[in-house]
Amino acid sequence: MTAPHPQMPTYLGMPAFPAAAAAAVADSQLRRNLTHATHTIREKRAGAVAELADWEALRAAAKAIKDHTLANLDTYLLRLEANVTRAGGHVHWAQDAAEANAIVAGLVRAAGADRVVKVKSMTTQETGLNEALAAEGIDALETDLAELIVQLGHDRPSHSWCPPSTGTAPRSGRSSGARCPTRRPA
Amino acid sequence: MRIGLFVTCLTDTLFPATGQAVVAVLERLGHQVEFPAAQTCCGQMHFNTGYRREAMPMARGFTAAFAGFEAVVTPSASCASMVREYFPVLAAEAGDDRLAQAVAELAPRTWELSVFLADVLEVTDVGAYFPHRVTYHPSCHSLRMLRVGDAPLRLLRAVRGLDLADLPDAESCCGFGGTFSVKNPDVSAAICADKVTAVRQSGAEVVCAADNSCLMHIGGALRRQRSGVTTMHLAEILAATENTGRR
Repeated sequence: MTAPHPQMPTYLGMPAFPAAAAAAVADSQLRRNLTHATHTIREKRAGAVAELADWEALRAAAKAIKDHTLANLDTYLLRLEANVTRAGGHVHWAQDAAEANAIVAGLVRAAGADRVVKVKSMTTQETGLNEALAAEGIDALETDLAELIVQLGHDRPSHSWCPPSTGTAPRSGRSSGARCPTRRPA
Repeated sequence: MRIGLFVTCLTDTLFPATGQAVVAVLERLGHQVEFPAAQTCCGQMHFNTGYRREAMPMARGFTAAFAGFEAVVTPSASCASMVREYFPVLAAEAGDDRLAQAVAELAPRTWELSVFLADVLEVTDVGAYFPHRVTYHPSCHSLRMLRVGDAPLRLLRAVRGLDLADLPDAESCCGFGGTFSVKNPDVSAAICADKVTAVRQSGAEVVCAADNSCLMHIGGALRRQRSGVTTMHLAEILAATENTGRR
């Protein structure tokens, strides 16, 4: 576990869920937004589910594949490395978050850069990559719009594939307006 | 058929009329219903809250109290799920072969009321009369765990006089979740607010379910809104006839 960046809110040390939730559920705009988002997602899901007669069997099969893969990572990670290497890639191995972040920082520096764009990744969120890069003087900018909204708001993602789902439009709008124009290349 | 009524602790203590309704429906269909007085809570509350060891005596007590019945019928999809799905887990975890054997014999004969009526007895018209607009809330355990399917709806459609209203977003949880409602009261109430909005949109006079726990939660919100919409367990609707008043 990396030490959290002092300017970033952390998961650890946040108020307990029931206390944090008490404030969130009192936010009427947020409730309205989440209702809208939830219905949109459910309608899309229902449409996709309706296309397949055996979607539950497919879900069970997918779960079995994931469980099997996780239980046999020693085999599959080495196979992945072999295939990536054969395709011309390079796989870095890290024991923990600090080592992973150090490898990324080293790659950015080796490229002679102090600014980097990155794709959405929950793993790098958990390893605190952006904060670790900042500590090394490297400015990381999210390319995924949802992740960027979270980053510009100095917030944390509240959902794995809908990161800013507990943000509300006015808040995001303000934070984007405040920081985006200042980030032009020098 | 000789049937044991598993009333559940919540129905026994807070909604005894539901237990009486189950007996009325089953006896109307010509069955003999007995109430083994040694029965207790099934231990679901303990199990779901992480007190698995504390749930063990209740699993053992259940198998002892209901051994010998051809069928055990309960007005709770939630408690039926506990017996059918989690008693085997408890017995296996405890390495208790005797309990595992007793559960293997009894759990498959333990039925939630609507499944017992519609799928086991294959009766959908139980002779009920209930001239009201009713909507049905599919509780999480009935929907996602016990998978009762449309058994409750088939039963409701066969009730004379009943006008069955669609419930918007029916498959959403009501927010009760057992001890979740105690540990996370604000979120629980927020989820319930959406459920109650849907119930009122349905235009129903009565919302029913296969679980009194959900109805207790939904009913609390409906009453505080002075909505005029009441909650009734499915069993009480199925027990109603021309000769019974609505509560």
